Amino acid sequence: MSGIAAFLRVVGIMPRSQQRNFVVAQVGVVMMVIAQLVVPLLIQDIIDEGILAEDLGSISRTAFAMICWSVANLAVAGGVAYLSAATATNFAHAIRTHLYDKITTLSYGNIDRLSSGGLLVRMTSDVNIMRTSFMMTMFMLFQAPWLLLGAVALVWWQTPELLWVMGAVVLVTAAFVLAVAPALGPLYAAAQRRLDRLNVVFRENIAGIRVVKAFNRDELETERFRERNHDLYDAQLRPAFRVASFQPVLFGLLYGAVGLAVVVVGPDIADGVVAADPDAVTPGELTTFFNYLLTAMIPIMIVAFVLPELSKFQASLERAIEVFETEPDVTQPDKATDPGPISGRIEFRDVSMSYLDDDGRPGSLPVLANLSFTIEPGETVAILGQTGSGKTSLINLIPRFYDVTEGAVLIDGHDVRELDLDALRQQIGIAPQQAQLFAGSIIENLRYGNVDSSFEEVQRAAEIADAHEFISSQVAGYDSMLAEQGNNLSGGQRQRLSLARAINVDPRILLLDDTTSAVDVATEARIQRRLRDELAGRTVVIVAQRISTAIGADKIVLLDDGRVDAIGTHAELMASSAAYAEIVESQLGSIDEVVDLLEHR
Amino acid sequence: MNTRRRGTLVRLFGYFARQRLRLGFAMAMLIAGSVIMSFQPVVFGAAVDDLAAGDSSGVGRSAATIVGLAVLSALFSFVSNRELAVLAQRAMEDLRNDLFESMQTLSLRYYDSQSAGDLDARITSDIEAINQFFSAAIARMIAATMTLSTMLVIMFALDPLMTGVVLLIVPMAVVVIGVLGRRVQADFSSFQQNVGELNGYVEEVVQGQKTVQAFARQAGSATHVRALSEEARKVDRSSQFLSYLMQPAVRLVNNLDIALIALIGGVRAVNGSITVGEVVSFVGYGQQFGGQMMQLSQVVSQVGSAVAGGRRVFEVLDAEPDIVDADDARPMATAEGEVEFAHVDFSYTPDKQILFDNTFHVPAGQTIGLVGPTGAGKSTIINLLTRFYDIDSGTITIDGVDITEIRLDDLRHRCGVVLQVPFLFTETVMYNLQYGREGATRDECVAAAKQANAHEFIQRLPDGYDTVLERGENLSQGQRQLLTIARAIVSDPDVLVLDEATSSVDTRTERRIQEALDALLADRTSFVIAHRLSTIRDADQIIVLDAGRIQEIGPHDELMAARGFYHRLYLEQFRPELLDALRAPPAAR
Repeated sequence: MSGIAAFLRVVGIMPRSQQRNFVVAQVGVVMMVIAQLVVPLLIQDIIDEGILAEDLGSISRTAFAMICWSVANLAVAGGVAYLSAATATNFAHAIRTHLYDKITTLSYGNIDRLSSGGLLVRMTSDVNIMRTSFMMTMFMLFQAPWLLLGAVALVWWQTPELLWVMGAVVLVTAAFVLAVAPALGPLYAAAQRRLDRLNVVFRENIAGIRVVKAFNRDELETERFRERNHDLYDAQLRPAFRVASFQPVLFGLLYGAVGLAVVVVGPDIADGVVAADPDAVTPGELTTFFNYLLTAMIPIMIVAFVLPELSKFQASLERAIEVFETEPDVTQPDKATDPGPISGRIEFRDVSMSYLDDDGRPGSLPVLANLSFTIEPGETVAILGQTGSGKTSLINLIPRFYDVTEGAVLIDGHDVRELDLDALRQQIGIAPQQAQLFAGSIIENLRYGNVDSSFEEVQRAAEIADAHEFISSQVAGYDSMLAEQGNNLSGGQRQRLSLARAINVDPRILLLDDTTSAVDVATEARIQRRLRDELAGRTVVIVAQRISTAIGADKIVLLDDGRVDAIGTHAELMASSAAYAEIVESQLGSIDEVVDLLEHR
Repeated sequence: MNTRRRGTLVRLFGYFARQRLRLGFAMAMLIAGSVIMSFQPVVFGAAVDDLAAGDSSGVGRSAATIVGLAVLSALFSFVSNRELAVLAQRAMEDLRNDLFESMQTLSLRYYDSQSAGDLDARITSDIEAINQFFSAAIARMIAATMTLSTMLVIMFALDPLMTGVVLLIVPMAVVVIGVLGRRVQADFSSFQQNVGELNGYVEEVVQGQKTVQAFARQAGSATHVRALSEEARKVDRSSQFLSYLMQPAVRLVNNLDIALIALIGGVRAVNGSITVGEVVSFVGYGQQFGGQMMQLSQVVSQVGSAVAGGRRVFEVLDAEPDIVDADDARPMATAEGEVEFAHVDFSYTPDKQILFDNTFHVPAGQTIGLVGPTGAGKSTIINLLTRFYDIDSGTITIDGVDITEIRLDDLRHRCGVVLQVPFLFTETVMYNLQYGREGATRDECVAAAKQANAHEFIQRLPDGYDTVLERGENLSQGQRQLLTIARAIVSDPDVLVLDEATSSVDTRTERRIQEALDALLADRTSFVIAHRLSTIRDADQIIVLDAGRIQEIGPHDELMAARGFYHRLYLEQFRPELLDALRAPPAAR
């Protein structure tokens, strides 16, 4: 029942034109119901006044009328079907586009909590479910009350003696349907959840096929799959068993009513025939009553059929509403300052940060704690630190992918939370840790952050990222198509495309999150040299594991468990930080050894 | 209906009919139920006839018979409905199992050639179309066919000519269903295509939403979503509209048929060739017949999409795995770990050769470093050793046995791999660790996690080792790598392969892992790919690859002395401008 309320609420907030469609369609629905009730009456006329009276003229006249009604019914049904299809698909289109528009306003934290998989399901299968049940409801469900009303009215008119039999059987069946049908919604939902769980295994075995094969665990995976598959079997059987009882019970009740009618009015009919009483119930009327009973069963069947669909509708709608009602963690400020072209000075002022938990409250474990340092315009700064020490979290604060929990990040002296979000991000280029590329040509990917860039600009960016050479060796050069996720390239090649894409933004601040981890040292050295020469004057922040990446930086920040452990140039840190010196030695060997090597080259 | 289409339907039905006994029982129940139901009009008619003759003495018995038959028939059809539901769900379970198991046998070449979105559509929407067919359409078809044939028999017995008139509905309905159905099918398949394209794009921009936002491309992607959704909307509207038109159209045909029955029957009643009562019965049959045709009309589109879906699912089921055990494949319970590549050529696609004449020999127990520029073919060598792909020419042997002659299961048990991209399952940490080896105990896994330096952060997770990893979203990249290393330690292989296993791990952590690995690697063969040359400096031998060709092989010192490719590569990490920086005095320790 709450499904109907959800449906009507949706109709209530639809645009005027769609509401008009709905109202017109409902008028059509009433006309369809009238046609459906009239045609059996005409058939009855054909039998009573035509066939039984052996009056061929009457048969043809009534038959013609019946055909006319059927044609009219087809025309009206066509209209209603068209309006329903239009409204349902418009609704699906609207939900889909509004959902996506909303998703683009969500911040990284919102996306983490809603999970991209969950968002995807809402945009695809949920929309599909809502469209199907919307269509069904609009076309079918509202026939039910009119049909029931019509059937009752007809019985009242033709055989008022049997009205109570009809009332009784309708009440009993309605009670049965209302007892069984609402439980179907949750059962279907449970089956859907099991199906989702099963599809996770399916998808993981596609995405992780190398791991499955490498560890030879196809038996384990098969077992995991079979188990969930059997769970799904159980879950799908439960509603199916309930549905299996519908048609037998409804028909049982129907014939129960017929039997009752025969007992109730049988003697009257016989007496009426014997006494030739014109007011008595006739045998023909008993047959008619049987037909009206059938008519009265149709709306109940419709309700039984549509109600579970509506609860699916409601479930999907609620999931969409959850997204619509999500407050973005990071928002455009009310009075945004446009910083104009920035110089690239970045200051972290006593910054602490925790990721939000599922309820949107800061988690108890801070990822960054009381962090303060400044990056001057045009500096290259390297961030080093152990796994999980907060390096990625730190640079994600600069373009406001996440916001600080305490303290502030300032760019050119402005708190980033007061700057116009687009103006801020347009001046920042980022190459994230995982090089996310899109299906399409290489040049489309490189132009992703700067659609209007010329070919020369793109090529220059590719050269700086040391990607030009391998791009040129592809069959179609810059127009070569990338497979999904750039899977037809090696890890190092994907990283270099991602880097070129960030450079092509022509940013004032360039953020490189371990962008060259899969690139060999020689190539990396070339990239670093070119970055230095070609991007002079821009602020570059590099997260790195390799000391060779960090060593030439103007400043090195060594993070430890979310705090600044040491900060300074390489020489300063060599002198002041044992931890840093240890990193250097572990990667490069002892200084004497290196110097020795280099001098003998 | 061409033969392929029929073949698919028969094959689908084969799944439904796997439990012959149950199917037979369900059919018997169904037949019993509908035969009993067909007596109802007779009993009811007789009762009405009695009443019309003024005799009400039999009402009690008639009513009891009507109710009794109804209860009996309801019971039978309830049982058959249940059995049909079991058959349908069992068929789906079997089909899904077959699909999954078949996908497991396919090699990486197959996965390379398929788009993930397309495979995804096969396991979701195609399977769902078949589910609709099994759980709704088949039962409806059987029931309708059953009712129609019972009615046909009774009608023929009454009057063959009138039966012919009733049957006139069949060609009319076939035309209507055919014409509409074909349009619906066409619209439906272009909708599927549109939706496929739409969902493919949506998948990319929703899962890559962070990148979209990082490059401020929200507006552009939203416009594209809108355009694709608009396309899908148009086709969708048309197919929905037409499929809802089917039923009223068949109803019109049905009423035409009833008019014909009444007219022809009326004429024949007037000239006395049949009774008036028989005409009335035939009008009733005409109505019922039409009702069944309406049921069938709704099934048509379901059958269409099931066949289309079935064809795509069977395509996967029928794909031949190209890497399988040879007939006389040898078991290999343990391995010393001697590895040899002899003149190995390899290409992923015919137009681009990746490895050229690779030859090298690794004595058991050695640690081998693989170095070279990106795209040189380092990961490819690993892919070949574990037979993810088969080579074009040459041989690869382990302990002197050609790997194509070793049982695939054994070969992969002997080799443990840490892959470049740290893939973890959406399961608990413990599940992911135990993944390494069947029967690994909890303690063994904890010990491995300690060795891989993962124990500490695992304990800080909300549920420790029992925390469910949401596709690793709650871990940093480096932490995920530590888990995959721990997983490899659990697997306890004879040949261990580390492909950039520590690229996102800091050196201090790496060094600690290295100590653990040293013990692990002491007596087993291992291959290590790394760009941080410090990681592989201590290897027994270093294989230097460039553009798919082996440039040099030898230990670090030897290669440095040779002053070749490796020497150059090694020195490049000490760029001249860093030299001064390096001369800075180290901190007092």
